[in-house]
Amino acid sequence: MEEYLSFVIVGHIDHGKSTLIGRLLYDTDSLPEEKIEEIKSTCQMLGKPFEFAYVMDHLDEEREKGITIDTAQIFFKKGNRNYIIIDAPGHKEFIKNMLTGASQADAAVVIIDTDEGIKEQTRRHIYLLSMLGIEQVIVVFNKMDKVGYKKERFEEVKAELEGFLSNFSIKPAYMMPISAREGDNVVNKSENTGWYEGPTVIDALNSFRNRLSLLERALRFPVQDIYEMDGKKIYAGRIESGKLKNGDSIVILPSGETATVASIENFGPELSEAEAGRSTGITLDRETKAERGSMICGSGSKPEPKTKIKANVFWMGNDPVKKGEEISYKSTTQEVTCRIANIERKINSSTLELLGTDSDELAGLEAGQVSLELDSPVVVDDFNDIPPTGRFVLVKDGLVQGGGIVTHLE
Amino acid sequence: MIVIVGIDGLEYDYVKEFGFPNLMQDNYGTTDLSEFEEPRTMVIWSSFLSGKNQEKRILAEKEMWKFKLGTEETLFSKFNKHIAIDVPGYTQDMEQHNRERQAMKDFFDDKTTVEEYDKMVFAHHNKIKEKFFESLEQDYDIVMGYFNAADVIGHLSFGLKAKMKLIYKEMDEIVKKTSEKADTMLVISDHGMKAIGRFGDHSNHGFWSFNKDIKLENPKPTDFYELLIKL
Repeated sequence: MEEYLSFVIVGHIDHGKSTLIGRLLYDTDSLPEEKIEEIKSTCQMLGKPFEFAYVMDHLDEEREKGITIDTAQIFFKKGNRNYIIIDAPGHKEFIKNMLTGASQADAAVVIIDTDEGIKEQTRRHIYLLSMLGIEQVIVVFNKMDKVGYKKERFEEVKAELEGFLSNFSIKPAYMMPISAREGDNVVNKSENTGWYEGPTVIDALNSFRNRLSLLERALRFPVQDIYEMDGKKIYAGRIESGKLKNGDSIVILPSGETATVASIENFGPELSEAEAGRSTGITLDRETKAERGSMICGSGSKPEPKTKIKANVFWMGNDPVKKGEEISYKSTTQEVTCRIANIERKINSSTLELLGTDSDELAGLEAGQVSLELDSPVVVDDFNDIPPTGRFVLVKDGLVQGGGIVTHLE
Repeated sequence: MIVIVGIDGLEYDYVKEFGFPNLMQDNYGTTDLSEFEEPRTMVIWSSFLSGKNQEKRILAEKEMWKFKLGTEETLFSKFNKHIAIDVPGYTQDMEQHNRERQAMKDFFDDKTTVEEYDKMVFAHHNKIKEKFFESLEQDYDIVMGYFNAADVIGHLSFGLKAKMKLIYKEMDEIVKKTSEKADTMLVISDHGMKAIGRFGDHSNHGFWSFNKDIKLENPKPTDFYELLIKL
């Protein structure tokens, strides 16, 4: 499978998010030539100059019809590098997607209208990026054309942002003056900002690394089911990270039993190796007590199963969840009863207003830093290391009503 | 001066969505075409000009496109100095019209491209535009210009909204420039359009807008005859 650098563009409404997407696609020749040519030639026949706004109209249209521009993921390529823009319609959807594993951003671009300056949503998005642990961040100061490409204005807004960022762990790798509408410093270096010596947006993105592929991570093979066939026990499931092959020494958690992979069962050609993303079944060289919810790991990368977890939780339910209330923790096939032991800090996810420290409950659309206590030990990993076991959902009354990412392994 | 900007195939929904302020003027809306069997260009413009439903009369003709009203049958007879530029059923350049119909046929027979087709339509559009603005400089009581690019281009491209928006923008600019000369201005279409894939077909309503405080509730094309004469 080809590797993509996936990134999300966040910012205040009208600060130019979709124009930046349009400009990235247009300047990397990622738009269907034919239709853009038809628009160009129409302009010519009407004796009008071709404007970038027309490309945006075309993109809006494609988006409306769901062609070329998938509403959730936009693919493009520059040189040998492939990119995916994760286009989240709103921050709630974005955070939900990140928590449920529907999308994973390697990097983020924060867009700010240099003329208008930093707005409430800009701050909120930076908070969310920080909560989600996205470390590769570019801040673009857009609409430089509106401020006459003045360095002073750029520096002024940049200083304001730096003041705000000092509250967070986020350290943007690049801060750059751009105009998405005019194409300054997006893909092509601009002469209008001669005083700026840094890279363009695309060069900055190109300097970022993809998250390590799940193949290169430690083995996590959650057992989904066990079948008995011809006297053999087959442990079936989907390999979430890493790989395994015949003869590998494994450990089954949380019991700690060890065994060796005897065979990889496959419907079709015989396999000696299976890797992340594959649903498969394996047999072991000895009898074990593994059951649904057990985690098969490589014996060399054995994590310590936990009953206490610190996490950032986003509650989506209509009813609040109370401290001490019995709910379920689900991560891969692991499902155990749990309780929120502590809500250290909670915020309104829309306004980012701090709603309290040491609170008793999390209501709908509130996010909090919480401690969870689980009735039985589960395998958890740092979200940034192995995302599938670093994220979880919380089930209350049989419905997924919350989700979160593990922030701290005690 | 009263000015009528006749725009074939101008779609109400697109005008509203694109939000072109000059096309919308002070008051705007749809026209009611329910009295017609089908939204046919020749029938609707002739009915508009004469204040009478001309459907039966036109359909009885051997060749619908050759139908022509006499000036005495049109609203222009009520004005001293008048000019109607390229208006179907009255002063339309039939040679150009036949060329356009042939080009559309050629496109579907794979004998020409969209680009060639568009080129011909825009060349005519630019010619009409020039003549129209020249007329506005003269001492007419009433001027009507008829622009057909939205319809003729629309038949092959109405589904490409970004492209159509350019044509609507062009019409919006024409109306803006016209407003400097017109005391009263009516922008009117015979019918609108609906997308069929990238192509377009006639929709079942037209468009009108006035620069005056004239409020109309889904008028018929024939209602404008009396209204314009009274003005």
